[in-house]
Amino acid sequence: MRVVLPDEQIRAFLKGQGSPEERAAIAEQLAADAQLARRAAQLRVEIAVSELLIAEDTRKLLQRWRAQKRQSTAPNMRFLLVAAALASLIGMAGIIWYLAIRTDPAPLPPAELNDRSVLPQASEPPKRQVAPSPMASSRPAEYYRRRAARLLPDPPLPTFRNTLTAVPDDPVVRAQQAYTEGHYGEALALLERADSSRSQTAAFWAAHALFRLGRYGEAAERFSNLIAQRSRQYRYAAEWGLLLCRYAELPKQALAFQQQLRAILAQPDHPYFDVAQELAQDK
Amino acid sequence: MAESEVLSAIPSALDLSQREAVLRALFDNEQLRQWCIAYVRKHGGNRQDGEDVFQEAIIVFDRKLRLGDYRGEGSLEAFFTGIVRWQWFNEQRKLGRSGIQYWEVPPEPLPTQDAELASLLDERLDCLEKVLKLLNDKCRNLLKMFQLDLSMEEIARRAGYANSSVAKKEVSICRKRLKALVEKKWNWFYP
Repeated sequence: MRVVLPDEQIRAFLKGQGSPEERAAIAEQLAADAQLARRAAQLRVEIAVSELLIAEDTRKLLQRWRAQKRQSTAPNMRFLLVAAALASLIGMAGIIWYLAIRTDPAPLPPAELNDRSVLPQASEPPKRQVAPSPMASSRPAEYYRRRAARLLPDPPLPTFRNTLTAVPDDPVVRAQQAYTEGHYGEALALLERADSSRSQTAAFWAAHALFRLGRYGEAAERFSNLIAQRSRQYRYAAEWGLLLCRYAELPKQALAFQQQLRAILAQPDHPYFDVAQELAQDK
Repeated sequence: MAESEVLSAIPSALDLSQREAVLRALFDNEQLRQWCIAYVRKHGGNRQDGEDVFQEAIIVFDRKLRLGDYRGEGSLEAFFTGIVRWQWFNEQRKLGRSGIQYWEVPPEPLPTQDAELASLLDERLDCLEKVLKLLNDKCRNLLKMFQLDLSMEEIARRAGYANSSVAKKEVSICRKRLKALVEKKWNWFYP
């Protein structure tokens, strides 16, 4: 006697649902009954069409997020305008000062001649560098700190699995929550309580919290430990984190920065190779 | 709940908000994104290709998770990177660019519960899109929600119907419409 399978059961089968035994039984029926197989083929097209619609929607959502991300990382136009106005003011002041020096060539005392800071910059144009390294520039320390903060991605937030398995009292979960809310000190305190099975995750988050608190030396130490442990999960991100800790402390940490930069640039497959290259060229 | 149980429960356990949270977590995962870009660059693409593959891989990942193609073997991250590898290889193959210089060993095809469905989505994309164009916006929306396993109450709420019975009736009309279209264009899918 022919067994009639309801559409919903076939749909569930096509959507990968049901126990292996149930699935095997349905597969057997589909193989034996041409009419049923045709109905399954129809439903397969229905599922495929619906999946295309879902993909279309998801694509739009991801594009919206991409646009938001681009917007949030793009420099603020107002800030750019103010910076441009300030730069032209400084430029004009420089020209006036240079002209004043030229018209009044009073000899400088020998001590001041040796002090580059009081020498007029325009009288000795700096040598042009093809790819100036960050240390070669005379940017304020604040510039490096800000740029490093922008370049350090926050640790990946609770992934798929964590979303489903999160235990509310878990100190690591609470620390991640505190971190995302900007309570870095609290996050650090909570991470101290993480059990040993999650020591690498805790160290990784702690390094980020320390970095956000401006405690670059301590953050660098945590990143270095993760690198030394050859953490499979965090190695690359830790190498990048360490580089940014050094970058944030330029020009003081110039040597350590160069060393770490070379270490990353020696690995073309490194996920942060491109950005490191940009840093090397001081883009 | 043991991890294996949690993982096997993922496809059916995700409601819409959880699904979006999973998508967002993936999208924000800078490590995976950078890995994807580096992989694509290593295999003949550029940064933009890498970004595009990352986005498409999220879409495929979402679908495969819902269709039960992830069986809990290996981590979800490894499953995702497998999608990236296959996605880029497949794209290059379609363009006739899968030269040996990039792939000494081609990546493994993705696991799938229903090979025919995967082949439809891969090889009959243009036909599926033609059918899609024959559907009105209302039906598109309802079919989408039905496929995402939303309850009839939820469909009614989202589509603005008075109650679940109306939603059920409307979904059924749209499914019948699609069924008729598929019957009419049968040769497109099963020549």
